[in-house]
Amino acid sequence: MKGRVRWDEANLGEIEANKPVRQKITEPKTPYHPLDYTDGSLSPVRGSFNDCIGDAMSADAILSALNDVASSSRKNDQGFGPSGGWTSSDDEADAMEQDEDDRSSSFRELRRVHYDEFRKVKELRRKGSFLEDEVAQDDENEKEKDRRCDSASSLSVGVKDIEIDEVSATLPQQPPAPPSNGA
Amino acid sequence: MSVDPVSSNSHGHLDEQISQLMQCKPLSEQEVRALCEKAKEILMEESNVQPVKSPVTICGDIHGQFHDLAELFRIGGKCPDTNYLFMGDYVDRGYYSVETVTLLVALKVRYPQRITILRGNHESRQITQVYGFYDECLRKYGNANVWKIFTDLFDYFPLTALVESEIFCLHGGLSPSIETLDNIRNFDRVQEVPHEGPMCDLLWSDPDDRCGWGISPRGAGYTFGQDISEQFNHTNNLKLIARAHQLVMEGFNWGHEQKVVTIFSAPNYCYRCGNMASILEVDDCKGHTFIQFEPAPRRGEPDVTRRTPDYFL
Repeated sequence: MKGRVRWDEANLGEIEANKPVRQKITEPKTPYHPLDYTDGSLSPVRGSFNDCIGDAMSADAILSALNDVASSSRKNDQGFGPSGGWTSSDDEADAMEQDEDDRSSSFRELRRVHYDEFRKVKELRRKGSFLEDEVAQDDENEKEKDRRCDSASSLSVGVKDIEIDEVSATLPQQPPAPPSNGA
Repeated sequence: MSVDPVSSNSHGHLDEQISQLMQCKPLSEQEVRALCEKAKEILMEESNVQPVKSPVTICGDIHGQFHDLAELFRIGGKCPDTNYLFMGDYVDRGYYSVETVTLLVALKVRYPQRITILRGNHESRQITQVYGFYDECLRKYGNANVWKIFTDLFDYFPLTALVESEIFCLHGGLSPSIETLDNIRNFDRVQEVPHEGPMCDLLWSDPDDRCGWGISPRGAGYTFGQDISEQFNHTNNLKLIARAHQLVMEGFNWGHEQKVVTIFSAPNYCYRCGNMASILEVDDCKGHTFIQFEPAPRRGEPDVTRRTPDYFL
């Protein structure tokens, strides 16, 4: 069998059997991958979703992306040891813990964005699209009230957002727009 | 309770309405109007800090997810076999706010001593105009009368409850303007939820990892730290603050070294979050058990596959 590649099947089997559960990486963290979902990219924009809305790529985002790359390559450097490129199980645990923290803070951030209810109401109130003042006074005029309720601008806001929600609910590859309204 | 016992005849009628609602079929506008008039008489007699006896099952946000409320009753037991305490946010965001809130109010009228329904920040005229309940009423009734009837009734919902003098239940959290439960007992709650002040805080505040009082990112209410919870529980001889108001992935979440617990009862919130829901059973001996549940399979709603928890909202 000289000259042919021979695989150490036993070793491969053992590695396969002892493989830890790994998280699937869906987004390459690189400064060259623009955080811009308008290009139809399928990459989920995570955590920093809000930061990306305004200036697609602020200086801060670039800096933090660079820092991410720097710190992850540093980590890899430490991982290279006698075993020849395998990260030690300690590093793995650290990475998972780090991941857990990231996910938890990302969750909290998304939840915070989702619960912007009061601000939204305040904003709409400023624009005068609420009924409450009219409703309080016009008990004596039912017809008038119904007419106003039917034509309330908040109606179109709500319906529009429900539609958006339904669309995004069936398109998982869309960026995770917060369901700030409706459904 | 100063309300006269309802005659058995009208019980029969109410029982019919309840079984109709259990099938997710809304009542007529006239029925809603009559129901809410009775509910108002019952609710206006309740305290701002409504005393509740154990055993009782404490529930968090429902948000118009009617089929999940039905699942909750399947898992927790039917009312009145099980006593219930709901901590608000019955309407908005889900597709069946009308059926959800009508059912809970009907159960309240039928079994006033068996179910307690507190007010959440969504039981408000302004919030419901933005987050779905108003539009749903228009869609289902063709006018805003039912919305008006319910939002007028929401003003009478009690703000907090006290289980066996030791578990303080409310929708949001504490307020820097409130030191004792008597402070709460003393104010006039029958009004739209104000934009600030103690009544607003009870419905809007959140516990936080940071000590002391903080500015809430929500723009209403405050954040409060473990020191605040400890002080409040100590001052009022409480064991626990049970509250809702925030999505938590496991359906419940301990905080402040078990001085505070968040309970959330809308599984797969907004039909997309992939979270568990839970309810808290407090038994006769004041022991407590969390029961987690997932959404029941059903037709007629978006069947969104469960996503990974961090790809949501």
